[in-house]
Amino acid sequence: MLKSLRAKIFSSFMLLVLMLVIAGIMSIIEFNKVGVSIKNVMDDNYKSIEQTKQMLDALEREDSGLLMYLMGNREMGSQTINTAYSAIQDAIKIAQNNITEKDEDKYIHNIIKKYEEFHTSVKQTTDTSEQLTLEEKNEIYLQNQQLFFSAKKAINELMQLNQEGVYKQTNTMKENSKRAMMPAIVSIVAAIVFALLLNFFISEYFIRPINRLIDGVKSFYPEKGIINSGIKSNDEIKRLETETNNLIGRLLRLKNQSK
Amino acid sequence: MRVSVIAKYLGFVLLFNALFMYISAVISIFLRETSITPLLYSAILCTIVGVFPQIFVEKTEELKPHEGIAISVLGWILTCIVGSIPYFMWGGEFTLTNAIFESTAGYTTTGSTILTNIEMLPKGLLFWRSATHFIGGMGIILFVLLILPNAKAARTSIYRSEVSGLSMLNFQMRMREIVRIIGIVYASLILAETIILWALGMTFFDAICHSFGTLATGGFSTKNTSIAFYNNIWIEITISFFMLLGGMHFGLIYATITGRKQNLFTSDVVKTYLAIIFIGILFISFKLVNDHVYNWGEAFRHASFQVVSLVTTTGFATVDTSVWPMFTIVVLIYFSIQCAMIGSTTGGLKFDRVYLFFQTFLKQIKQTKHPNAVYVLKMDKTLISSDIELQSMVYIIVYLVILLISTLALSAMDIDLITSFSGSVATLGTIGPGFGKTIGSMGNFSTLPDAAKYIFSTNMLLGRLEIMNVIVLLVSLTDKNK
Repeated sequence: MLKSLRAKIFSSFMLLVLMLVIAGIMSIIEFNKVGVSIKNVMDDNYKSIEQTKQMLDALEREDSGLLMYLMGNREMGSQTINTAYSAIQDAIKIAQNNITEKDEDKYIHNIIKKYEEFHTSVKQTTDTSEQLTLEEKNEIYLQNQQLFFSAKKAINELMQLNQEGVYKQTNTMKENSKRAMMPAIVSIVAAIVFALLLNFFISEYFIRPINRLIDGVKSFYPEKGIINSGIKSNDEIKRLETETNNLIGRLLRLKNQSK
Repeated sequence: MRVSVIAKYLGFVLLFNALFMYISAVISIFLRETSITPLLYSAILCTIVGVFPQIFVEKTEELKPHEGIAISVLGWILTCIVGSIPYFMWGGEFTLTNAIFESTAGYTTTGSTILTNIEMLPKGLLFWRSATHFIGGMGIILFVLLILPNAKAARTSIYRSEVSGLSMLNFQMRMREIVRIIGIVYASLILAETIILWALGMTFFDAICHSFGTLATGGFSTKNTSIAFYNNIWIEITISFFMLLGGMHFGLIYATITGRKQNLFTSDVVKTYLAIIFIGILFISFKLVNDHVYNWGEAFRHASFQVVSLVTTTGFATVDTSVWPMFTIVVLIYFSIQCAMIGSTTGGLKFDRVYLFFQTFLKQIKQTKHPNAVYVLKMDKTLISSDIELQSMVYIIVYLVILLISTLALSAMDIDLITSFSGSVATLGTIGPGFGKTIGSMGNFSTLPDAAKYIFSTNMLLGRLEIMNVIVLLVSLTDKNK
């Protein structure tokens, strides 16, 4: 237990300040986590979803290019296939450098594998299409469709994974923002309790002894000799009582000497 | 009543809670979990508010009896409130009401829960949940007495308000020694069980959490399906054995280990207690076999675990008892009311009082037959004073009256009778799960109205504090001539 009044008051306020400062720091940390979650959603998951959309678009274009090629528009078809191939490769590279979810790399590897199967088949078809009849072309196109759907499915799986990631991150954001507010809410309640306690202790250990001292001074008469206000603490108020008694003693001695 | 002195001791209570919050926070920090801020901030808050009264209030040697009671009762209430802060701050399923319910269920070692998915909780918070069992098992106040600086008179006053007169019968030593023995027995049994469960295949984390839950006779598990998750007969046997020990008088356990004359094997109360449990297991097993629920082996296995779990007020489960025949439910409800032995970590009515009740009943019959004869009551060769006899009878009556009031209040909220009654029995007896589909061994209290959760929380506190202390405190607060 601290002895001086100054130390008691100082420590009490320091504890209150400490409580509020820590609450502030905790809130900042939690809000920072919200910020990180937003960054994850915006920069990472959203970027991956965008890339999967690019892949799907390019895949559709490659399929259209093949159809054009088989229908006789070879130059346009070949150009479309090559452009789509480049677009998919670019999107895959971006997705590979933006792994945010667990096992996302496996999903990308699956896309590469399925797309390579589809693209190889497209290439083989375009290379041999000159010798094929319309019925054979139709049959090969249908076979390519299986590989096309397989690649599309792999891309959609990656998109779904990232969409689930967005959902998860949004939930985390919701929880984190709630958690960020909690230290503040709890601190408000704790500060009220703390203030009530402080008020009680100030009243019990400062105001009441001072009032007792005042009552002691008021009810003092010379025959009593000293003021005894029943202060048990060992702080400045006790010293004030002691010094008041010393002063009374000196005054009484002076009075007796002057007689 | 000196509020400042009470505040000083409540400060110690907060500091003790803070210690376990720091440990839980360290687990969360180590595992980089979402519960770091809730646990760490709660710990810091408890430390600050706990230190605050120590700045002002001087060391006190003497405490008046009603101040001791106030410290004991308010200490428990305060503990339950501050214990809910980490849950409330973490969020998820924890609303303010749910957090207070979970915290109270933890400290009072009831083990009822509002969680529908326990396994999604961060490990730090799961540890905190089990730590509340550990603290509540021995009793927060006894823990504080154990670590309290030398203030003999003050300690005695608090101790008398925390430990019932009946439980002191098997402790033939001084208060300081009793608290030390309780601490040693409690810690040693937890350590032993943790090692065994770990060796039987549980993770160390699960082993320590389940040991806290077992020896504190609490029942919080780290798994949604409680002990049924492991489906391991050796784990069930180990937990049953330690649940039985947790439900026995710690003084007798210590006496047995140290080879004293009056021990677990010579105690008539213990023998009767174990005999009744065995008869209960046989009744339930027979009914389960007769109704083709299980074969003999399975019936005995599950009946044993459930009876021991409920009679010791633990509340762990290996099966869903809500599908069991009504007769078995009635037997289990009897054990839920009877509870375990005084001087243990259990709450509720306690077997010693039931034993004393029947002794008194027999004494009254003899007295009626021979009005001039003098009969005395003895428990384990110790003479029972008429004061203790009267206290026990009054306690049983008050307990049953509160059970009735609680059931009535819950029924008024349109909660079905089996949930209202078994929930009241389970919370007042600090058991945990009740019966029926909602709050049965595999259910939870989440769907009940908030008001019902507060009634159950009050029941848990009353059951843990042994009712009379709370009544004495209320009388002291309202008594103008105090």
